Amino acid sequence: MRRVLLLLTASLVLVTSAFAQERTVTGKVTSAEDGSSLPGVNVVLKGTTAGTVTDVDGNYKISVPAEGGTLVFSFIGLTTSEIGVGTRSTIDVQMAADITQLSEIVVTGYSAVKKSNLTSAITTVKGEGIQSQPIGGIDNLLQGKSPGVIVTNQNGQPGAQAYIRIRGIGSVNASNEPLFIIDGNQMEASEYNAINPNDIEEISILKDAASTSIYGARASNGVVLVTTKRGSKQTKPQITYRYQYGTKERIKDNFDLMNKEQKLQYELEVGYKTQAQVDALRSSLAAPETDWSEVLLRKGTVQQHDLSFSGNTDKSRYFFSFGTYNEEGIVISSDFNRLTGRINAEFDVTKKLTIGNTLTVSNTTSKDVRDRNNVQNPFNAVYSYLPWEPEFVLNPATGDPILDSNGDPVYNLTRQGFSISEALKNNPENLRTLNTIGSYFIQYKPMDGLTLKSTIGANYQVYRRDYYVQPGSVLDGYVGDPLAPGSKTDNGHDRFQYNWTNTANYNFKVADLHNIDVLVGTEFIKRDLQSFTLSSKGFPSKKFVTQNNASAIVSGNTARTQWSLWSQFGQVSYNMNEKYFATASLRRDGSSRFGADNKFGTFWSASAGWNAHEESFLSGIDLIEQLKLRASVGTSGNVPDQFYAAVGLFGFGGYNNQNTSVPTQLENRDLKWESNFNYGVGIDFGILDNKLSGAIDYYSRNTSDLLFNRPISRTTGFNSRLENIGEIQNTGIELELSYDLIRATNFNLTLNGSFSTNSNKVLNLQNGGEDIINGNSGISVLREGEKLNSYYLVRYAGVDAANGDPLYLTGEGQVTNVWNGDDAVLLKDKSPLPTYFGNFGINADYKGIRLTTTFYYQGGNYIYNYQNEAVMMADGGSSGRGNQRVDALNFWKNPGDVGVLPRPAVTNVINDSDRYLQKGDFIRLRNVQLSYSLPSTLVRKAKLQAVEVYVQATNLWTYNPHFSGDPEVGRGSDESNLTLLGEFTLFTYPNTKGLTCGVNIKL
Amino acid sequence: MKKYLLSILLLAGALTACEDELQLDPFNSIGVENAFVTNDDFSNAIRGVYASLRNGNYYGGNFYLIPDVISDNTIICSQGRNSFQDYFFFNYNGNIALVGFWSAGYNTILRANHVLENINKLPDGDFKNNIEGQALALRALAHFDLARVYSAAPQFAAASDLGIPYVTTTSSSEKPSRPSVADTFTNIEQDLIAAVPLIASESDPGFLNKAGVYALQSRLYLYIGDYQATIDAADDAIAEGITVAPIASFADIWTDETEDDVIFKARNTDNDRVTVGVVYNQTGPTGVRSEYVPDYSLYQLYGVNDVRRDAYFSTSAFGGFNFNHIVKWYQRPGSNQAVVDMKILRAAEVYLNKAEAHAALDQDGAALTALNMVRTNRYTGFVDPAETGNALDAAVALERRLELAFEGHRLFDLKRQNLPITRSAFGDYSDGTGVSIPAESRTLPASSPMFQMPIPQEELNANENLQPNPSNG
Repeated sequence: MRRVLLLLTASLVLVTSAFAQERTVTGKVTSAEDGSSLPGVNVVLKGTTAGTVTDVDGNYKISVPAEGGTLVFSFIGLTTSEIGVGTRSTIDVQMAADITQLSEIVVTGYSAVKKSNLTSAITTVKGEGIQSQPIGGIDNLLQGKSPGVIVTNQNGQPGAQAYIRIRGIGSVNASNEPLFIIDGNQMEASEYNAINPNDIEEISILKDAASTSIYGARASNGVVLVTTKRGSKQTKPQITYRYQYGTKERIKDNFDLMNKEQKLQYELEVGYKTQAQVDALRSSLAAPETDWSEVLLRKGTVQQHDLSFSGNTDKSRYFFSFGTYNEEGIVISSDFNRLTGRINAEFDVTKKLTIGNTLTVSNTTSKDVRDRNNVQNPFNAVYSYLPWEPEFVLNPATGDPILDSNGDPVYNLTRQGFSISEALKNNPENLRTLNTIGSYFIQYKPMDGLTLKSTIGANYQVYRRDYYVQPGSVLDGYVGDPLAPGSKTDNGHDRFQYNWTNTANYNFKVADLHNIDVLVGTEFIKRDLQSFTLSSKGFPSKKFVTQNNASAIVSGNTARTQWSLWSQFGQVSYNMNEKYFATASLRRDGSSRFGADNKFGTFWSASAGWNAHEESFLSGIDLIEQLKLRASVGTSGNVPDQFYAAVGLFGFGGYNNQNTSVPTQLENRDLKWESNFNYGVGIDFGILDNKLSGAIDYYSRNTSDLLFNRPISRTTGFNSRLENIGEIQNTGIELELSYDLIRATNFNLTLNGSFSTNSNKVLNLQNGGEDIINGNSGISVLREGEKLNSYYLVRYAGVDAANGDPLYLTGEGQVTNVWNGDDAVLLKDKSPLPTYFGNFGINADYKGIRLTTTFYYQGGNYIYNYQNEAVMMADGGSSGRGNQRVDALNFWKNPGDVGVLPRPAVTNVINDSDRYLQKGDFIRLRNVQLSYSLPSTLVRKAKLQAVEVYVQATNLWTYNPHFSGDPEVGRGSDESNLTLLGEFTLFTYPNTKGLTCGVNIKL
Repeated sequence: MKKYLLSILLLAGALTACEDELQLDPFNSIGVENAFVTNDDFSNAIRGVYASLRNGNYYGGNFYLIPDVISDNTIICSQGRNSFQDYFFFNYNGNIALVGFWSAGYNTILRANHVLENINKLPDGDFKNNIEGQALALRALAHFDLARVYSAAPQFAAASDLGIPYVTTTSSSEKPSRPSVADTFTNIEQDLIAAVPLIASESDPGFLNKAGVYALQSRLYLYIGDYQATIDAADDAIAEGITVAPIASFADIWTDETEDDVIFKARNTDNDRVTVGVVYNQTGPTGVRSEYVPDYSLYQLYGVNDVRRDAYFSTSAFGGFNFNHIVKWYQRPGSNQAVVDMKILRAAEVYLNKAEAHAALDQDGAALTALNMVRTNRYTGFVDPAETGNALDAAVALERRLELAFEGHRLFDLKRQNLPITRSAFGDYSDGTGVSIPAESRTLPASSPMFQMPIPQEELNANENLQPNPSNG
């Protein structure tokens, strides 16, 4: 094609060059992004047909009139630039990617449309936007990439997944995670880590009903569509190598823990220790000053290699890649390693028939640490181990470690009777996951405009976890059998999911004005999971880790679950002259998860758009480059997490080594889909020569028939029953702006930012309007007219200056010194859900040097700070025996003391109250990247296409005026009963900050 | 064109087949409607009721610990982890409440009710009767245990005092309110009376039999204060052939090496691995670490000729200090630590019930005989002091405390007799020195509302018909 163009333009040049007085201008066109030369760029003298194209090295030569004129440089996907020639004879041009992406194709589900033709709220994230980050998972990489979407890491553990919340929270007990689809295959969260981010061409985030309804019953939380690379447009094979190395460390707290002397003073004043005991510890050589964060934590590292081959021939396109990602966590025995390979290929078998595939195989291994709130959690230990407790038992006479018979130092079992350093070494937990995700399609175009496509996709996952309590380890001494030391558990699963998707797509024009696109399709998905667990005890030594060495099998079992989904769908898109747009879709889903009465659900959407800038009355206004109005309305659904949720069940077990059968699930034949009704309007605009561009959206999302484990009287023998009980509304505004402050030949500076709001409200609960206390944590509530999961706590009223008692408010608002759970009240508008969030930053480039910064901010949310409760505000009690914040010393001592903590006592208990509830507002400098693209002259000498080196810092700076500790809270703890995103923090793996450098080389 | 039509038809055929794939059944369960068909189904379901007793909040651990922790039998160990200290210091309220126990008790009841609701699917006969008898008795046991915890003592309860909901349905929509204490105990009594003619006489002690029901009746009547009924039930149990373990085999009761004395226990296999004893202490590389150790004044009451002294306690150092650790639930040899069967009804208790009832009726001779049945089997070289009157009453109470210590009886034995908790000023070390209990936590007057555990707030939240206890705070 390019050859044809070349000939054509060359002949035009020949024809036109015969006229007038002319001179020659030469120059080179390079990419603003990486400095690489751009071949095939059209260079045309404005107002004429005279032009040329750049050669393989991006050089061009063109004749211009003596007085100069204006040259127009254009290339698909790049911003067209017009440059006045003046008197210059050499004009080098850098061309940037077309940020308004008017001609860009957006993947919208079972089809793709031009971005300018979209009638729905879809954010696209280009592959380049998420590459070269020291982050393993594609889910985590979406952080701050789209207005209306909050992405929060579960915690800082290497390989930890992220929570993704698109336009608020609509579910209580069903999933709030979006549907993730990669190349047509539905993914589960555990597969996100299997994907090499460098393989990604583009990610589309579908936010509104118009875009998500086509995914029907699974789409109520939005849809994330991942498309992997399909081979470059260039014929010349492109070989890319990327390397990166970085370090990570814990983000320091904004408070200090007590040192030895401070904690001894505390213990003496509270009464844990006598003066004699304190004096003995003060002078003991066996009780030195220990900084447990130094002992237990280390500097983490990240290292990535990535090599890819991409290109095409006349009849095929290919993309091959191989990548490694290795991260060592900030505590020993936590790491994440990944090996990935990919082959994507397409072949045009005939002019009408194309076949192709996508396939990735990935192996991840990781080491996990305990993330429960107990003595096995190293991050609990960092806070609660005492500053005079050494890691190893010391000789009181010399202060030297005492050695065991092997000459190894003996671990100190600490106040908690446990040594976390020992456990990290001797109780290893290893996870390995092998993922294969592939799809195979056949596409046939029997006639113009008609495309038939059939795709078979499959995801296969083999997961293995083993947890070894080595013989002789401290934990074995506690939980093991002294006669059969050591215990090992192996568990895992084998999961196979396949989908068969068939679509027919017909687009045609009527009267050269009406463009109509019709899509119909079917889809069948079935997932089958088989799991096993096996435990043995009695190991000859810690060298032997497989269970065939064990003396006795303790327990073992296998299990299996399945689900299936069968769907038909259709969509009609219409546009008139790319000016007026309308789209409607319909999907009918049948799910195995429901009873016979409610198996099927139907979901629909309708949307419209208007490219106002195409109207004659606006086309005269130079100020406005783009103005599009969009509106959409539609429905989508959500299935329960449970696979057989509607039926009353009896399960089996054992008693006296004989079978038992026991009721395990309450029946609810009426159980049905959680359904969403969404509508929204939006404006896309570009003004001032597209210098200022952006989009504004308003959305309303109503979730009804909520799937909710309604707490029921425990006298029924159950705690809760899954019911469809209510309605939640999320509304919000999303604003995205980009402003080119400076556009010059060598210097560009762009400011960008986004601002999103979310307002959440429980509209009704179908149970007479009574409160439903969150049965898991007990500190939040569902109430009609209030924010979802509003905190529900006793109100703290300070310290009684007369006697140091903590004071509380009764339900009626009277001050009392007696804490009473019945005095808990709903705290208006205080919930874990942020009310606003967004990001802002700059992109600057100067002669191949590029600086990018991204700040992320969010606020309006509250977090219950259990961590703070334990290390500062325990007021003594059992938590006060662990180390405390320095501020904990500032407690009531004498009548009249004000501005102090309540009087602590050994026997105190912690009573939850809003004293520990803190605002979660923060701004964080998420990423700063400075990169340099080597000059192409230099690069070419080395026979390379482009070389870029960069250095970047993540989470370098944080401003959190209200919250003690790290305010970016995902999952506060792995405690299974505490699962609300951002509800509390409790010694989970901390977030990290890091410094990374790397190089990208294109051969 | 024909070709297209054919392929479309083929496709359509394949696609409709997908609809059938939507009917998927679980691999590990069965619909409730199919759960009770064969005799085996009923055997499985009744064993399921027993299995519920193993819950860690019930006989699987806490129910043996907490009633002794709240009593005068134990003192918190200064080298422990301060587990359950809120209970020890009487600091419980609606939010610090035994919610797990509340749920576990009613879960046992639900399982029994499923059996009872389906029982008429079985043909009449011994099999059906025995299943029904066990289900009734287990339902009574769980209600009785819940009532002991959450209700006032029946002998001293006012007419307005509240018992606990007596649940006889499997409906999940019920929100019962609390009947009176008297009505609660009447319901328990009725279930036991109904169970007696149905339940079989012989069985493995892992299952309830007629002797077990009689034993439970003797306990129930003692709580109610119906002494003659206590004696009658105890005599019925004795007539069924229960025997008090002799000195020689007494210690083996606690290591599951004998079934002497045991009328009923919940089996805990190595596969079940319920760590019953872990609530009292854990053994680790640094020794036995106790959460609670015996109050030294109690410990001293176990003389050197008392077989229980070594069966219940072992003395060793932890953290540099000597403690008398409670090892009654230590472990079955060869099993994992703290894994042991859960003894629920024992012959010694039945004799002590009988002794107390006789003594209350001033039948000193019969009381002494019953008491001595226990004492002769506990003290080497036992010489009968032949007490009478108040001395005999005291001897019966003492022997009950010594025999049943750490089996979760002490709090309820004080409560049912309207007695206060009076803890000693001794410290926690093995010689009575060490950290003693702060004076304000040493006593709990008999009138204290803390004898009735608070109703868990979670229950009150979900069931507005249920009234809280004064201890709810």
